[in-house]
Amino acid sequence: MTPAENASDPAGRANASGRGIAVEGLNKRYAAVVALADVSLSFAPGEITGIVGKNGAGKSTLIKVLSGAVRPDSGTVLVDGHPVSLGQPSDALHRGILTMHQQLETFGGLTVAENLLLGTPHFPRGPGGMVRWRTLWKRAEAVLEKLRVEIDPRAPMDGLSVADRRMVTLARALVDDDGRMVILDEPTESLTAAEADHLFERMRELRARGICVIYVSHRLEEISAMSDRIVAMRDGEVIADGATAEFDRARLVELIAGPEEAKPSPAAIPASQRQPLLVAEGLSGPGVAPSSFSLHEGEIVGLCGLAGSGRSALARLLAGATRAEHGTLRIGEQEHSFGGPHDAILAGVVFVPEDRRQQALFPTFTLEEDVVAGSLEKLRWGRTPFVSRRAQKRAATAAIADFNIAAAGGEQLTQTLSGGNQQKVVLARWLSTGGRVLVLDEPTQGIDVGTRAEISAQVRSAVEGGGCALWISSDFEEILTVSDRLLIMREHQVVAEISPKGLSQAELLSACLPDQPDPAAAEAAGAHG
Amino acid sequence: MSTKPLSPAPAGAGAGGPTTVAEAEARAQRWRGLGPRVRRFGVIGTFLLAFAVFAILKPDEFLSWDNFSNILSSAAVPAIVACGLTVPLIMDDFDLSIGGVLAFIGSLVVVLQATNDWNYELAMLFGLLAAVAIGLLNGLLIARLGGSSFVITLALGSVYAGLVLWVTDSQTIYSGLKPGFLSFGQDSLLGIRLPIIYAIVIAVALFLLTERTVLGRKFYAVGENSTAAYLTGMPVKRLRTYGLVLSALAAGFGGMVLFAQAGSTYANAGSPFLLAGFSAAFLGAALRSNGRFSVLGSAISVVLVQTVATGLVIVSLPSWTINVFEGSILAVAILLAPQVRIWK
Repeated sequence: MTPAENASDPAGRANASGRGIAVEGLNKRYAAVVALADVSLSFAPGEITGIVGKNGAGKSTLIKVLSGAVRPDSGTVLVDGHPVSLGQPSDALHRGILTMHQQLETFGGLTVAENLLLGTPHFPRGPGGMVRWRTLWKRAEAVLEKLRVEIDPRAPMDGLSVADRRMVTLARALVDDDGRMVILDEPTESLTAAEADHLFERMRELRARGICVIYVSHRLEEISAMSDRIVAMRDGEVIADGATAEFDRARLVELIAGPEEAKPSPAAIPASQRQPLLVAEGLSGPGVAPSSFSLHEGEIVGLCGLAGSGRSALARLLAGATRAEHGTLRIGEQEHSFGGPHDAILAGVVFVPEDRRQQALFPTFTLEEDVVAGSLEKLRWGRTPFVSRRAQKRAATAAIADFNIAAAGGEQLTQTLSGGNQQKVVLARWLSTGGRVLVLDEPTQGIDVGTRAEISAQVRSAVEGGGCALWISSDFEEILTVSDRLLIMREHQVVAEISPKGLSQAELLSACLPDQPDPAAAEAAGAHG
Repeated sequence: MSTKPLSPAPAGAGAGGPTTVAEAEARAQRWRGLGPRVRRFGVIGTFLLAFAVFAILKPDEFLSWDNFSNILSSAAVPAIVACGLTVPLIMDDFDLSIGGVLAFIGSLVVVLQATNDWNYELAMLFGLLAAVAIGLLNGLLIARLGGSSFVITLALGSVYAGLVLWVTDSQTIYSGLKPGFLSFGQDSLLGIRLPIIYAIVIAVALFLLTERTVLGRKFYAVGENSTAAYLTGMPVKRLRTYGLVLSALAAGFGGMVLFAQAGSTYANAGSPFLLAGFSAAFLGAALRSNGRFSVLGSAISVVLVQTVATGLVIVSLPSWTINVFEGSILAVAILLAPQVRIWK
């Protein structure tokens, strides 16, 4: 137990014998890695606790223990002061502990009502196990009412937006009065600001009903705004625990990153008159309405827009993953029409896709094999078709050092690396193709503060060598820091260009919202390119 | 970090214990989590144990040079088929048509020389071209048009098995095979029977292709994550087509060797090789520390399985035990190959 934890025991915190949920002396190791080291915490009813920490700090393991997905090596979980055994997820559910995972697990083909009530004793069964649909709709409606969300209980789940699906998952906590705890893992990932606000209101609703809410996020502003109490973890230990007011942003960053790593993001250099490297004129394709813009040598351009505004579609179009329908795309002097990613790579486009696991990583490749997979042709042994082992080793070692990838060695499988290191692998692999136009779709998604800074420094140094980057992020705070210039997308179209200088997040958000009060004014606000 | 027992309540509380489902889950986890070393040595140990039993029961027969040579000779065709099959498997494509392709191409080559009196070299060349065409067709339907490899090759395998009956007129053909064709399957070089040499050459070539070349690295990348491979600029459809062509080519060549070895065509020649090929490929994946399919693993597994099958005959167990054994191998190998994506 660290001194920090004892020092900042917040007032009104429930003790182990009272109401609420507590963990005592949790330890968990995975081989040599300590995931949880003697963690003791208690969560009072009606309290929102934010948990922060790097990837690998132990947050996920703590959540998994509470949700019954992982058994600790030692230690106890106490519900209302009584030790319980959470051997599997259904044990946790029966104790009123509900977990909303980052990747939503819902039954897409079933209705909202079924998703809410299946697996609970409240699912209405008639004679012979038949479903009593009317009762089902009514009950589901009542539950959704408690959370004050308006979703048709008869709608099929996969017809809902991500935000609405999260609401339905959240509502499961209110199905009966036994709900004790709701755990949310990065709940605002891929939500728009408005949707996130809506979610926050619902979280307050849960708090008012006496449920403990545990909230894990990398988004520090949200944590500070939403939680009553903050727990910081590092290397499996609780290093700080106190009322939210005790933490300012600088302290949080320091706690998460560790004192020596907390370096500020590199200062944005002013956009000067530079050569345009990529010019799109009236470019359109699947999910992208005719858009015109340019990227200049040496600059990072942020692409902002609400979820569904076509940001990722534009990125895929530039990367050759989808085909352009109209308009022109010039890179350097040459006009291009990409038949596939292969053509885009030859033209010098480097694309880091949004979904690391589904679209980027080779999970059982070794680290060495994965970082060189984008530049295999350079590793040929003379003119033979064979891969030169020595060239591979050299290229991989250089990439691992350049990107500061933390691994046991080149032979470690990429799937066993932490999220931040996996993202570095992906970035290193694509940057090694030698492209000059970087298209980065959410490159820092789900990554801790320290690694974010490293990645933005890498991108900065890549563009300073004569490239340019288009950086997509839903995190306005981040995009304002890293970009030299901002492009705004609304309803599938690049509609404006603005300078991030002195821009507040609220101003940026309002530029992204559809139904602009005066489109001419917004256009005029930025357009000088 | 030492584990201090500090909980005031009894640590193992919730004394009712976990339910059977939880236990089963934990057991499955433990089973899957078996260290790769344990898994590999377990498999190899089991085979060594079987060899020891055969050697003790029938030392003179099992441990003879003749037997060794026989085992390798009968492992040749399955090894050729299994090594070819491994290439599409690396890319997550199943090729269930190999049994049909083997019988069809083999019969075609025999019919062309025996009934149509073609030069046997020409007949063999034609057979190889036909195998390539079959591979391209598989590739078109699966890689280009996006059909499920499992269903498409299952369906086409039946088509090719049907074509066997068409070209042979449902007859067993044992006369009219050219002497050159027979010696292609039956002669020896430096005391080693030719089919063994073909199998070794093909296994080494495919090993080098998959493990040492740029192309092979791309095959594995496609199998790991085809979307990522595509976005990294790899021609995924073409690579998958190559894999299906190679497996059809290997199966077709295997069919020629088989009928040249036997000196005739025969009914239902293909199906045993389908099972043998898949058993070997999956067992090979289980033998590797990273659980990947590999040509070398498949080749070694064919020999292991063939040795046990021969041993079962030598100790005079009834022939059905061989079927039971080979089928069990596939089932157990799938359980032991943790990375194989058939789980999903």
